[in-house]
Amino acid sequence: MSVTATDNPVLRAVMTHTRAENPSSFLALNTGNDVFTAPDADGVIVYRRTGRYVVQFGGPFTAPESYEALLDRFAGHVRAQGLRLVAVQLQRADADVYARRGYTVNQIGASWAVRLPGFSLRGTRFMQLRNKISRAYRNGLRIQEVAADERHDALAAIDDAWLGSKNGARPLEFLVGQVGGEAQRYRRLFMGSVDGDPVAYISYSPVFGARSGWMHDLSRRVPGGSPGLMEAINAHAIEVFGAEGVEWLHFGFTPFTGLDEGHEVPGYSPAFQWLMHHLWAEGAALYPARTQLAYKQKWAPDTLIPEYVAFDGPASLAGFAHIFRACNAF
Amino acid sequence: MLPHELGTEALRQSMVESLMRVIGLPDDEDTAREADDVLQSLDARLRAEPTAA
Repeated sequence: MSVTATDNPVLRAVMTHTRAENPSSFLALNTGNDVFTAPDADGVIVYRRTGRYVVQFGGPFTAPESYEALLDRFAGHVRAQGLRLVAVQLQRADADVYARRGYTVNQIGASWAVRLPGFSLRGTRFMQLRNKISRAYRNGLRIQEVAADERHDALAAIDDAWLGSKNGARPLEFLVGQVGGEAQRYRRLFMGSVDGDPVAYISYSPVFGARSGWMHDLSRRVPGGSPGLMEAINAHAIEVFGAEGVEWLHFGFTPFTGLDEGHEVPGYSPAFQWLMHHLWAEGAALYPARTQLAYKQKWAPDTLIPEYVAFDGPASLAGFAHIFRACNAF
Repeated sequence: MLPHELGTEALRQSMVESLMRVIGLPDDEDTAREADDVLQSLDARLRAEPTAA
């Protein structure tokens, strides 16, 4: 991986403090995030304020000996402003600490990952996927890894077409990746074109820690194009990553997926747990979790990573709603 | 009817409707409080019920 030491304190924190193994930790670098630090503690807490809530992304990215002190200072800072704290995309290691400190912690979904050594699209399990990819190539698809700053117009053309097809939907932020900005040099971008016209792209963010590799992050395509564009681009990226010896391809967080009683931590809210199952079954209007998971499952992910929400106090519908508000969903 | 007077299924339905109201009026403190009352009533109900085998 090409990531090296850096002066960016957020990047340094997510690269260094990987005990929670948060596969989405690079989203901490998204523009628009705020960062909390304390003078006597290494590391950062990343958050956004929306309405009366502060929505924290992941746990504190800090050393184990500073973890609880930094969390307590941050929670105190939030409460002192008359705001309420809700944390999302906590990992199990985070969840255990938050629960022990009196937060109400529930599983909110899962991230999914594939271990790349030995991974292959051969075999009957992937026959439909291979057929879809073949169709895209037969329809003229060409794929290249590109530098985002050299393909600004192509990215904008795909983004505009994609957004125009969403009937006024707002582009999500915060818990989804970005292309561009200071952090772009650490990401990788694969773009598909047909007859020279850009038609789709997938951005990959670095993942640090024991399951280091790349996370399949922001992806967009022009509407009405060939079937299999995204699948072909991801398969191409897998070949490239595999040749580089990359260990893991992550597919990122999908709310309401991978729910299991066995993942819950002591003190969880059974009502909120029921709501997560209900939104998996009936919540497509809030978030299309089933569609998202169906795409991820095409790649037969072999690792499910439970992800958690923590409320400072009892579980809260308003707190939960403000996670989506922080993501620009409404 | 107050949340604690509702049956479990009615509380669940009320919780979903409350979430939708919060999304529609995210800055309304009364809506938020009422929604959280429903959730906490359902929590109390479910914690009191025996766990399914």
